[in-house]
Amino acid sequence: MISNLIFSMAAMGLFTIGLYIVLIEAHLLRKIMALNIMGSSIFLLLIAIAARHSPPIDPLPHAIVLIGLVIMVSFTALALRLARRIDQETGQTCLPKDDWSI
Amino acid sequence: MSSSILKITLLVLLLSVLELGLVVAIMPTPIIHVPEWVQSQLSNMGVRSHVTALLLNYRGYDTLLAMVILLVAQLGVWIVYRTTNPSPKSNSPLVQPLPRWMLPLLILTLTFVLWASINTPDSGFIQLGAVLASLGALVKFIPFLPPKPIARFPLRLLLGSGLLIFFGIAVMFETIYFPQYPLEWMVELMLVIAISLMIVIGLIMLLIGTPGLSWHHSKSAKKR
Repeated sequence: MISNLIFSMAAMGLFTIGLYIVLIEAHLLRKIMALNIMGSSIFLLLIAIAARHSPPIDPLPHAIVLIGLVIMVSFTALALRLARRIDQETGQTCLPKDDWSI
Repeated sequence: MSSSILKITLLVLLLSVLELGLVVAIMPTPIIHVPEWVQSQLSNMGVRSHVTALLLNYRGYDTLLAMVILLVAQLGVWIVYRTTNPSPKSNSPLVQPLPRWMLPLLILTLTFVLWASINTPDSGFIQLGAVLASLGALVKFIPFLPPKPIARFPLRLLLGSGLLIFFGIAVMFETIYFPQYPLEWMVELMLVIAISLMIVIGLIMLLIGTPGLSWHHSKSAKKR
């Protein structure tokens, strides 16, 4: 039971780190990597939830994680192509800054 | 100076999310004990894998919509991505023997994991899409093949037919609950769906690096 808590706390910590970097960093590639970290942290949380029962393990979050993997891969691919296109059009790898951005 | 204070404040505010990890400790036990329920329903499903049965039958909607998401991402890439760089061909002596050695191993992996997804408690047919993509990447290194795949009609037809097969099987049997497969054909239908999902994932992983067709045919292509 303690190991589940460690995994879920680590998952929320990773989620926090990913969210912080998405908001702070201006470089698009770092944003995309941080979003990947957030996705992986949610997978870790799902597996921690699956391991609540002592054996036999709950297979439903495993299926959800597999589908989530597919979604994350396709999202990362589209985001990377969009970032590449932004780089081709404007020559920068950041979105244009507003006055109030950090 | 104030921007670093803002960053620290943002970090502290976001760290307040950490206690949500403790939710796992206080989550109530569900009404249905899922592993035992899946085990009891397994004889109704024909496959002997818990996760495959869940993915293709009880969570069939999730898998179907995941395939739709894949195809939407591919369409988005074909709309957005433009390049005039040719794809690389390798003449390195390290790469040339690679298809000869890897192709039989990859085909063996594909058939074994597909069999194991049906008959053993594990399920790996979604990851097989990545194995198929590596097979295709190997094939790309063979010198006599054309340099880059282009999104012509047969390829798009193949991609769309994966989704068509899945959706067609799901709605073919007139029941209220979708997807509902008849009992005697359940394993074969699930195998067909798994193979089509595998092919679609592998194709998309290979084609995600190719530019769209409209860009390729446009006359005003500038090299960047």
